[in-house]
Amino acid sequence: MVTMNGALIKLEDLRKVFYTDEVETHALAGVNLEIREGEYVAIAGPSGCGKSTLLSILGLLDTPSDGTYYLSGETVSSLSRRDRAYVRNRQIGFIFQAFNLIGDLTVHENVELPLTYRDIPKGERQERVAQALERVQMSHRAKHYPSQLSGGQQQRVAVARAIAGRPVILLADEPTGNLDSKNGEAVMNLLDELHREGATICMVTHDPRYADHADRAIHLFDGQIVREENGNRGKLHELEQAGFELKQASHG
Amino acid sequence: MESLWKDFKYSARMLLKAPGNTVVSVIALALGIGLTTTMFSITYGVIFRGLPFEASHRIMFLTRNNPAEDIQRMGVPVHDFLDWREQQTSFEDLGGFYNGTVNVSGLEGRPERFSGAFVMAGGLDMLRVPPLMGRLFVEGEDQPGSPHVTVLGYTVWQNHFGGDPDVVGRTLRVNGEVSTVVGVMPEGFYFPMNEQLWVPYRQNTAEMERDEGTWLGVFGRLKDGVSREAALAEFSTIAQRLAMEYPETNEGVGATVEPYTERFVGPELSALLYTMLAAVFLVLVIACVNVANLLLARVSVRSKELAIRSALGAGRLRIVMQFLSETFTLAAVGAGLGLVIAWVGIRLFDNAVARSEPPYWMAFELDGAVLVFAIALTVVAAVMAGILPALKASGAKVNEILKDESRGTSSLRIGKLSRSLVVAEIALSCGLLVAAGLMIKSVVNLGNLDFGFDTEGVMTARVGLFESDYPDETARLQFFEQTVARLDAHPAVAVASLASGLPTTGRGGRPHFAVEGEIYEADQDYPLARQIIVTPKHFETFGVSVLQGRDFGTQDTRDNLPVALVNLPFAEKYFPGESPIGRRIRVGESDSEEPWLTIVGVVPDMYLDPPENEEPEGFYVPLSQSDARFLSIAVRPVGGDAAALAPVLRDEVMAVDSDMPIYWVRTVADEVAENTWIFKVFSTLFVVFGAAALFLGAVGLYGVMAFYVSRRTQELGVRMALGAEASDVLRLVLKQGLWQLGIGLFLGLGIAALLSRGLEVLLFQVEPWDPMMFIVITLVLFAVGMLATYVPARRATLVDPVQALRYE
Repeated sequence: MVTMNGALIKLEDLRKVFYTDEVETHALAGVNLEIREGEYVAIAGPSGCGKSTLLSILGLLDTPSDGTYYLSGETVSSLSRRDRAYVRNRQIGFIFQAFNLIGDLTVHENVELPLTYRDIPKGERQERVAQALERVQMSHRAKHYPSQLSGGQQQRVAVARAIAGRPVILLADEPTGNLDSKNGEAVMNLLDELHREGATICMVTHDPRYADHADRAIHLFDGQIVREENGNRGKLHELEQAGFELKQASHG
Repeated sequence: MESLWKDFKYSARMLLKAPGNTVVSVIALALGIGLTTTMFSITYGVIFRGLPFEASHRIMFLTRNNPAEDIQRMGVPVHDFLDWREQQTSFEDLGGFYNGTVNVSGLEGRPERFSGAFVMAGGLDMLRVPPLMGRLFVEGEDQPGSPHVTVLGYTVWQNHFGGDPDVVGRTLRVNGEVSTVVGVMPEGFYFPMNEQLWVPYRQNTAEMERDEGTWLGVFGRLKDGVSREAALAEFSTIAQRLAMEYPETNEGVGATVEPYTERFVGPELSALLYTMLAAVFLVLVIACVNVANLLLARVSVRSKELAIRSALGAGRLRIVMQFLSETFTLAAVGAGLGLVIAWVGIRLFDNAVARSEPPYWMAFELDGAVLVFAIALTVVAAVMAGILPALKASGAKVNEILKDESRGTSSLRIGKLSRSLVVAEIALSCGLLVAAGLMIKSVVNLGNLDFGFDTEGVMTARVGLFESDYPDETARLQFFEQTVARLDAHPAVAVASLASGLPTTGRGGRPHFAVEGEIYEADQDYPLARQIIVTPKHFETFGVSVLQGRDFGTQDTRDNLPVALVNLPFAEKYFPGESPIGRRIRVGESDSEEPWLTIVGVVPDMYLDPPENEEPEGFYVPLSQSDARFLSIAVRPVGGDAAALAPVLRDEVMAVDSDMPIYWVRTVADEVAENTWIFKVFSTLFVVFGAAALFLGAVGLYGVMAFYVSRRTQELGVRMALGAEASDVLRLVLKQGLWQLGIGLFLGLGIAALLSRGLEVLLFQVEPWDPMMFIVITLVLFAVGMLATYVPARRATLVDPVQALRYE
């Protein structure tokens, strides 16, 4: 599943150029990055620094102009549209700022959606949906429509949809951006829990408080990584690795 | 008022902002309003316009019926008329007439034939139309022996008397008699149907048997306060009284009273017109549905604007008005264009029917009444198109929209309504197209119909002899025999003959007859068949051979064996499996004094009636053994154009009788066209309606699917982010379109079944439930529908998920 040196994702000199009205915009200007399996990485930076572009490329929604992207040891930077859809469906789970649930589908159907694009028997699909909803404590709302839920609840459903496909990595784009601080904190805790259970997470955020939840925070500016630091969780990990007794950390 | 004006100004701005939508909406409404107005003008002209007289709705037409024998709308024998007139109290008076040919000579140039009315004195006064000059007929002028008088129509006065102000008092020869002009009628008066001049009905009724004489058309003006029903009750009583008094002639005979103009329309034509009006109204509904759908699309795009207006205190009514002002603007522009369409349509229809000479009050024009209808229709269309979007827009919950827009889910569930409207459109298009298809098939059948005789190479004309000029059979026979002999001998003519009725015209008698050896229990059991009087070589003129036996010849004189020819349908029906040659038939019923006619030959079916007639049986008798006053001449040229023989016909007839005009001078092809025009006109109308419906339906489906795709760009992006492939997206959108198509077609076939039933009278050799037509139209609509869905579906697969997810 992983590259020789243990990286689930590896980006080598990744570049993305947009052309609009003869103006060249270098959204990504040579990004080198590795994300190991089980790691929780935050990508931070101001508006327009290239965070979303980087996440789109990581999520195979977009392709780089130059450079190489390895996912699970395979080069995916030059896959066809169709193959990207295939990989996206099986290896990547998305959580969006605007939730992006489909209004005409019930909670259950929304969570089931990625599974319907694979040949998974109905029984297994139902089971996975049930597990995912259970995991985010939304089973009781399975028959509701998104418009009948609060923002926090909608984002939990979106998380359930992202994990139902059992992806190798969860990509979260400002997952708390549309939520109040209480609901935002609850979603962050949910991601923490998933991480503790072994999920690999890559999250884009501009809020330093949330970046602190991650093992490692990568700061982007003008399309380049300008700084990399360990978050609180990263610091705790370091302590753990140093062999110190660890008391259960609690975040309010 | 000011706010209304503001609404309209804002509407105009909004409409200009979306020019594509606006143009499609205007075209849709123009088609709908234009075609409906055209059809209304036709229906109005035929059914509602009525006679151009004072209180003309009180003028009734009276006929006799015989329910036991299922006979409706019989004319009235003169004795019945006189009894009715004497005994009735419901009408101010009763008028009686029959129309016929009036030959006038003593004019400049050749003698002329006019269509005229023979009227009872006093009848015309009831119409309350004073003559332009002179007077109408007075009591006594309809008595035999009184001096002959004539009332001229305006056109005759203008065209043949140069508008002579001193025409009253001039004398002419009318049907061979010297007659004085006593009056001139005003312009536009052609009562009772299309008559150009009027002479009194002059019969010595005292010497006539009860059932003798030409049957009359009878009309009357209801007295004030008397209803049609009351009049009918009175006439039923009178009819019963006459039946008791004269059981021989009047047993079982009743009376009917109906508005004058209805008599000339008949239930079949009414049903057809109403079907057409319903069909075209469906086109308008489709157009409105399209506009409603386009507006619904905008409602959802503008939901935020509406929510803000609402949040700022705009009431529900204001928002409804805002939307209606948009559809009113659209409908007004559409109506403008629609009136142009209607003007063209009405002109085309008027030209097409002119050749069949409809009754004179049936005018087809874009006049006040039609304009009022068009305006009312515009209001209806504006409301129909605008009310759903307006209610939808004003009913949406403000809070939810403001909240939802940023959440990426839509609670403004316009989808369902929009989709139902498209289903309705498809259903309506399907119904109309099946009807159009049946009509086209019908016309094709008619075009391909093999009449079995030469329709191109024969020229015809009609002559009529009057009692005054030709008082006995011998004189008449002599005239006809001389005429046909002269024509036959003419170097330009290959062959000439005479017939009482030409093919496809339905002219000629249709008497009861008996087959020798058959037993008929009652008089009404005697069968009916078309009887045509012909001279020898009639069949040769039309390029038809006698199938069996022989043609008439010089041997068939009055002193020899009375003979007849029968057509093939006659032979097959009455002599199945055997030869009719030598068998005998007799005209009349049990008390017939006619001679038995020996069948000497069988000829092919020459469509004695218009082609849709289902009783083609007919027989022929030789002119030399019968008597006729009106005959058609048919000539075939030696070579070249048959129409070039017109002057030859005129000259040869005048050589026999210099006062004798000929009329209905035309080729057989024209005659056939005249008897089949109605199929062509109505099928053209249906094809136009169907094509408009197909166009509107396809645009509607495309519009809704395109809207669906654009509205769902974000959703499609999400699906693609989650791994949906292009084929998944294509399938999703096509499935949506397929559902609508499927339900629409299913309902449409139901509508088609209803419409085609209404069309039955117009269908020629086509079943109203022609399975092929239903299948073909379903497939065509399916293909068009799938194409209209595929284009946006294909576009949906090109959605860039990154863009889509930013789409808000």
